[in-house]
Amino acid sequence: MSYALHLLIYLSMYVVLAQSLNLVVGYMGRLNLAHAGFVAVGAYAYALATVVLGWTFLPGLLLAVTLAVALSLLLSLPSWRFRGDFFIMITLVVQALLYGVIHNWTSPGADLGSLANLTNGPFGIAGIPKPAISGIQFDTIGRMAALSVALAGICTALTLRLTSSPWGRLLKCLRDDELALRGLGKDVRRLKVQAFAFCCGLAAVGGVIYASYVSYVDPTTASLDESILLLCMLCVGGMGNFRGPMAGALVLLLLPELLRMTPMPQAVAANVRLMAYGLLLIVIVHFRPQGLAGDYRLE
Amino acid sequence: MKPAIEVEEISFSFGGFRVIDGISLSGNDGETLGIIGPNGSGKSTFFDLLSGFRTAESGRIRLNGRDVTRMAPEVRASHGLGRTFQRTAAFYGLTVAEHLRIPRLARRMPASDRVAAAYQIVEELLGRTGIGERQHEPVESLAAGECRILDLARAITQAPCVILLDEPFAGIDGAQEKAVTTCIRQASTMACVILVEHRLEALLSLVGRVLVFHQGRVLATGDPSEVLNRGEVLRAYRGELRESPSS
Repeated sequence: MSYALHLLIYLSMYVVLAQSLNLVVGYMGRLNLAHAGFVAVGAYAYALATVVLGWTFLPGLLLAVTLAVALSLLLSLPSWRFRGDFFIMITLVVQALLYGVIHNWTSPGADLGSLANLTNGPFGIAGIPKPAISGIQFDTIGRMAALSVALAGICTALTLRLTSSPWGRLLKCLRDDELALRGLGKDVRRLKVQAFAFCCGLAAVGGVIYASYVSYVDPTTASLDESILLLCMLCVGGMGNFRGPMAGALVLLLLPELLRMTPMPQAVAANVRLMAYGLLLIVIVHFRPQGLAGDYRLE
Repeated sequence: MKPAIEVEEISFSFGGFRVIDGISLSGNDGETLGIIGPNGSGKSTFFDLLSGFRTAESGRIRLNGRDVTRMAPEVRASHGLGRTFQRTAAFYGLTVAEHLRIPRLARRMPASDRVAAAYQIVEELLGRTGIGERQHEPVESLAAGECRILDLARAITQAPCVILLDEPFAGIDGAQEKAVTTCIRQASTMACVILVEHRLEALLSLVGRVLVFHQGRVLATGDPSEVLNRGEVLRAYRGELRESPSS
């Protein structure tokens, strides 16, 4: 039972992350490799708020989202004129920058949370307390799963509401023909800034779910591998609609778990898992380039 | 009364190659101007300069007396400039009706007689071409010619004071051509329409004045039937006029 709940918490987190990435990649048509950086920003902000400042869950969540939204300007402002390869390069730079800052903002002997040692470098931040809202402690795996599912539900409903609104339609127009949209009088820079802000804010929620469940964050949360995994979820599940990211999160989360059940030594299983990922991607890209349930094919 | 659009000696180069060289033009409300010229003579680049997708190196562009030379395309659009492109600009996944609502989503457009008149023109165009009955179908179901008509309709729903139409007759059939011609005529009652078009018959039935572009300059301008019989215009079209006219 605990194992199923554990998977449910991870599934909730990945659904939030894939849905948020889908805003920029699937609806806006820009391939973003910096997503894990913003997940880590959310996770670290929450960790510092609860461990160092002693804040409770909701203020910590609010701080994480606010900080990620503010830092989304790092991505949206320099990249607004670009698309294609140049845009990807900018997201890669931001990803490397966030990882570098998180990995290196430490100083031996300095207190955690001080200006000299904000992230504790490669050692990460441990001892993140379990969430509590209005006196209700989410200290069991069942309660934690309920909280994660509730947060994922709220985030998914929000993205669904956003993408089916006129704003969401404009985002699709931006993806299909940016010049024509500008010719119709739309300020596309503002639209992009808003899309990145939503994307990064929701990524921070995913980061908070992770940090509060695992009670520990380290710089690997911000690694490029994580960004690529999230992109793979969109490639496999599909993008440009609400179903694709859900399908992608489900398949890429359950696939390694299924492989875990095969009678193979752990070291072999890890390699087989990577090969299975690769094979799955090749098969999907070749036979179903729009993904399992997607509406849009990234060019 | 100020002209709807006023272009004063604008120039533009790609690298060191001058593609627009000191072109001037003026158009009033209710006027339809045609721009013709051989391929590569600078017609589409000129439209890009007018609509802000490229910025002129020198010269001035005014919309209703307002200097818009350095303004971004979206700002020019909000000051009353609408355009279509040489390619069709379809937003996939949206229905025909949603396409026509994009200008309203893109910027605030207060209800006015002008907007109502624009929607009336569009409604008639869509009715004549049969697209009106397919308002709730996705744009992917439209043929290429129908997409071009939708582009024109969308530009008119902006209720602009200047409409730039880049090859509005490309890819459309005879019956549709008639509907588009009527629509452009109606649109010109509320705006200055400037067309770039290779189908001369269609163009000549609409415009009161034509400008012939050659190597980034205006080779000839005036009444269409008179201009098209000039020797230098014919030579430019046959590729016999190698040097720029002023050299």
